[in-house]
Amino acid sequence: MIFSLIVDGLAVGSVYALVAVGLVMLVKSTGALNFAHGDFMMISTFVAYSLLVQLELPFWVAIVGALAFAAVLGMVAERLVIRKLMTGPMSGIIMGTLGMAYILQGIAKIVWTDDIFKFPEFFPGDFVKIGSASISPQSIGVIISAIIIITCLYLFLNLTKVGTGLRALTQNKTAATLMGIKVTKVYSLSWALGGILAAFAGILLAPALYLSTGMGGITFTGIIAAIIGGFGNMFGAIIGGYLLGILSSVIPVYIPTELQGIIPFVLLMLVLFIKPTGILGKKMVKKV
Amino acid sequence: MKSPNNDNILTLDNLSISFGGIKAVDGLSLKVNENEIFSIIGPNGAGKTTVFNIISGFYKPDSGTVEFKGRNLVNHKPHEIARFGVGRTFQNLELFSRMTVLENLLIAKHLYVKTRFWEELLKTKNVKVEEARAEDEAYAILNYLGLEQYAHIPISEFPFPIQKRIELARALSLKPELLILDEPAGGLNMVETEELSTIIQRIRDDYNLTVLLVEHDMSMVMNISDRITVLQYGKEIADGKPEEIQNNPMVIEAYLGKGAMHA
Repeated sequence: MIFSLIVDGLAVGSVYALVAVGLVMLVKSTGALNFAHGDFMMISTFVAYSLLVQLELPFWVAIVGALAFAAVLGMVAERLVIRKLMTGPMSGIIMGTLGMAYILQGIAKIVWTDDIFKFPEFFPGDFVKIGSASISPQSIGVIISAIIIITCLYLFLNLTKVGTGLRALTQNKTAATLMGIKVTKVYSLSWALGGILAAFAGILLAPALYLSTGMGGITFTGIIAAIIGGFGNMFGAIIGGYLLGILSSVIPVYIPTELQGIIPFVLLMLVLFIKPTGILGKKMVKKV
Repeated sequence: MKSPNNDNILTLDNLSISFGGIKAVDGLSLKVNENEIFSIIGPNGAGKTTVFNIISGFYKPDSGTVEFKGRNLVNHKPHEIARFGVGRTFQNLELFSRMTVLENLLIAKHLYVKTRFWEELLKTKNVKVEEARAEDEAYAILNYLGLEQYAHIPISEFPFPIQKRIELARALSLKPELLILDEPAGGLNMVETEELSTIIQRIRDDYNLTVLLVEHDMSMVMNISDRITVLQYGKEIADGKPEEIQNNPMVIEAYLGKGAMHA
């Protein structure tokens, strides 16, 4: 049984990893911790749901539609909210992105009501028997999809000129500008990418969970995963995501249900107690 | 287009900028000729770096114009000015410290490598050819500056003097026509500074570019400059050839001090 729990945990962890990677990418590129990230995910997943179930469009049209919506949403948020607040103090960005979270929740409640919806499974089929454990095809599908998405992101950032521009900007904005990189374009692109990652996470998560306007709370799980992995390190965010996923799938078997919600926080404190910079985090060195 | 009787590559006209009521640059005009090494000197706080920041678009002047090859740079963004052919280095280094030396030089390739991003993802033949060409060009610059053995090492591993040289290499990777150097000899010892003087002159000749220099090391400035402008409190107090500046009583009084006579 423990084996199938771990596989389920890997599936949930894949989603956490996608959320955490998106969050870290935005922090690194625009310095903004996006508290609306989970709500980007929620509303994009609702868009996918509407296209798929209500408009009965084919599966791939619904996904492409939701991703396109998420990309545009990210760019609009960057242009209208982030770009203005970026020059101000961090508290402005925090309140700005929190504000977006509430606005998106409000809009979603008006359009889709407060109900919960069943999102169709993308990977239907019989449970796969491995030894005594049985694994749902949905879990396997989610894990493989997440690996493909993260690989694509890696290739995009490392092989393409725009990706290189984004990496350059995350390291040194002045130098990037000096090399002829249009910073505003890269900001816009990174928020579009952030939106797309959020939408992917939602589409992979929704079938396993019910779809509701409250699912944006995953932002905090994503932030915790990112901190556990070593904040600012994308690879660390992925590790943090999977670790969190596995532990929150396995541990509940051994503890009362009421305590389930605290697992991420306890894990966070444990990791930070042992290594304050997170698993892959480097010590902050003050530049003089 | 260049008119035959005018070989200025850069013309500053009546440039002024204030920060909180203090005039950092006050009505500065100067003309830099193509292919010369032009230095701006002056005491700390004279506004030298501010002038550089205006030219490269990081500051917008309150008044005046910056004309580069017949185009007014004021109101252009730094990334556009870089694309027009103005490269620069910084007093305190602005490198991509977690990237390797080669990667730092390859960032500029997006300006002249013409490939589409799906081609890049698929690594088409076209992309491979273009990338190999960009790498060859980067290696050519590294070889030129004696940095080729460092190509695959991250920037943060190097001591300051080498990082300065890498930043110079990266500025060259932009293929600039005007190279702006902000205190390139800062933090270098005497031998390194002499070496740098030779390098700057060689670069000017071999890359056929114009150098605009801010530097505190007076022997270097006097050695390699074709012309010099002296700033004090944002105003020009003298300009001319190195020997003229060295013998200008106003400059000596305002800035250089007696010792400079023997420099």
